[in-house]
Amino acid sequence: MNAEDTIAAPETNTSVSLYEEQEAPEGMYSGFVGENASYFAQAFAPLNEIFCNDGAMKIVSDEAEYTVVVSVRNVEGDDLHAEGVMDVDCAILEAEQDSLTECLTALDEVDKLT
Amino acid sequence: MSDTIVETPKPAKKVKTPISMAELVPEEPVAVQEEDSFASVRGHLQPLYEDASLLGFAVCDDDGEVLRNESFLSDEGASKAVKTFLSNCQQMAESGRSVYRLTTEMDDITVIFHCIDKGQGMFILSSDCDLDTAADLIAELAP
Repeated sequence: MNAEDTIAAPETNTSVSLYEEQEAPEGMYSGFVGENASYFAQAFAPLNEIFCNDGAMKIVSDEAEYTVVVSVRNVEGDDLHAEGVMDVDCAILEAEQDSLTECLTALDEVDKLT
Repeated sequence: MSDTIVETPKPAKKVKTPISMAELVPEEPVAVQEEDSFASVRGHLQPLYEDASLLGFAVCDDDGEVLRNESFLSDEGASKAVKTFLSNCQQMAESGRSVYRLTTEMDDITVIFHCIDKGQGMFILSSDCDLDTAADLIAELAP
């Protein structure tokens, strides 16, 4: 993965409260990446209880127009954790990615994407 | 933050089936036929069971009601999980976005949500599996 694979600058360390709801962002526009970060983190939060997950997760949405990769991470600080606030990174990649594994690891080296 | 679009040439697109809310109308099959049809799904996934990649799967209708649950989740849990994915797909569709696969990696598992010809499939994989191989095999179940 490198910067040429992204179709928008990645958004990193977006603080998201999992208890708020948002509508799915539509179209590419300024703020689109950050809105996707918030949307996916909140939309998939119910899976934490079902699968006994601590809140951290990675999400890949394979779509017709692009591939959205989201990494939801626990923030440091007990108070913020209790309030359901998470750090979220998000990148928008080209559609039709060859490797799902590479998508999931894309944000591990987010500095290479920025 | 700049959202400049970097245009790169795209290869000819493969035809993929978006996850659809409407086209998968639950049939009312004879019980024996339903048993056989899900046995074919299980048989197709057998290589993933054999190397411990696949921990289980569930197939639901478009309303998230369980048609077959062979996962460690209760039917209620499987339905709730699938409804989470379906809700996302529905919201994305309302925003003009076509989703054909959702993948979520959590602590010890990776969950792939993919429309298959029997319904809405949720496949629970071990985190150390060969994910690309598993994803390719699951994709072969798509209509």
